[in-house]
Amino acid sequence: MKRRRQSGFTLIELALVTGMSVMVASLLIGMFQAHVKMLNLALENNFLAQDAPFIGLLLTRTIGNAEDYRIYGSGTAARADGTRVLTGSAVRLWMRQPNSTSNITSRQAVVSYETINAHPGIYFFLANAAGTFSATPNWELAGGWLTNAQFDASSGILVATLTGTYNDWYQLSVEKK
Amino acid sequence: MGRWTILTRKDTCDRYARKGGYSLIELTVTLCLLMAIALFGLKTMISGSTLQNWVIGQSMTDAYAGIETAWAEREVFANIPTDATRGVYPASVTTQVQIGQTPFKSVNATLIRTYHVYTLDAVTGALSYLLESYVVYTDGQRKYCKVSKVYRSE
Repeated sequence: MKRRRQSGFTLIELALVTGMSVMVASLLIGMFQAHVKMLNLALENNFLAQDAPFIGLLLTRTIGNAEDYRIYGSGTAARADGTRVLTGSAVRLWMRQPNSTSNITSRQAVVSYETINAHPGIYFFLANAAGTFSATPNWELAGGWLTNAQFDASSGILVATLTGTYNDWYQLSVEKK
Repeated sequence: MGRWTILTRKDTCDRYARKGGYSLIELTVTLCLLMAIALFGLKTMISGSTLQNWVIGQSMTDAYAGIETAWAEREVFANIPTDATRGVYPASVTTQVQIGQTPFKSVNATLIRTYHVYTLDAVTGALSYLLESYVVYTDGQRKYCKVSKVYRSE
C-alpha cells in the first residue's frame, strides 16, 4: 500500500521554528527595551541639549544690555526694590534709554524666575516711565523643562544657574560683555 | 463548484505539502528582516544620543569658558600677580571643575589657568597681562579644549 503524503510539519521543524522564534523574539524584546531606554534618555537630556543654551542666550542678551544690576530673593522683592542679596531668583536691571529730548534716561526692568498663573518660568517686567512695575509680566522668556533659575554674584561676576526637571543644571555668565 | 469544494482533503494536503517548507523560510526571512530593521533603528538612536551628549558637552564648556572670560575681565588688576589660581607662563595651575550636571552624572572638566606678563611696554611704560584659561573636556575618546584669552592693561 502506497503511503499517503503527510501534510503539515515534522516535530523537528516545529521545534526548530519555535526555538528560533523564541530566540528572535527575546532579541527583539531586548532591542525594544533598549529603544525605550534611549528614547527616555533623549527626552531627559532635552533641557540641556535644547532649552538651556537658548535660555542662556536670551538671558545674556537681556541682562547684557543693562548698565547695572542688583539681585533679589524673589521677583516681588526685585519689583519693590527690597533687600538686595548676592544669590537669588530675580535681577533688577538698569538700562539706558534715550527719551524724546535726546537725554539719556534710565529704564528699569526685572528678570525673575517665579510662578505666575500656576506656570513657572523666567519672566521679564519692564517698568513704566514713572518707574513702577505692572503685576503682569511683559514677556515670558522661558518655561517648559526649566524648574529653577538662580542668579549669583558672590564671585564678582553675574552667573546664572538653570536647573531642569531631572536636577540637571547648566551655568553661564550673563553679565555685560 | 460547491461551497466546501475548496476544503476537500486533497486540496488541503496538496496546498500544505507544496508550501510547508517555504513558509518556514518566509518566517525566518521575515524575522531576520525585522531584526535588521530593529538593529538599524537602535544604531540610529545611539547615534542621536551620542550627538545629543556632544551638544551638551559643547554648550557646557562654551558656557564655562564664558564664565572664565567674565572672571578674567573682572579680576582686580593689582591682584593678578598674586592670584594663586594662575601661574606665570609657562607655569600653570590645573584644577578639576564641575561645569554642569546631566540627569545621570556630573559633568567635569579640567581647567588650566595661566597668564603672560608684559612688563613695562617700551612705548607706554604700561604693565599688561594676558590671562588664559583652557577648559578641557573629555567625551569618550575625544578631547575638546575651549580657550578664553583676556588682555588686561593698566
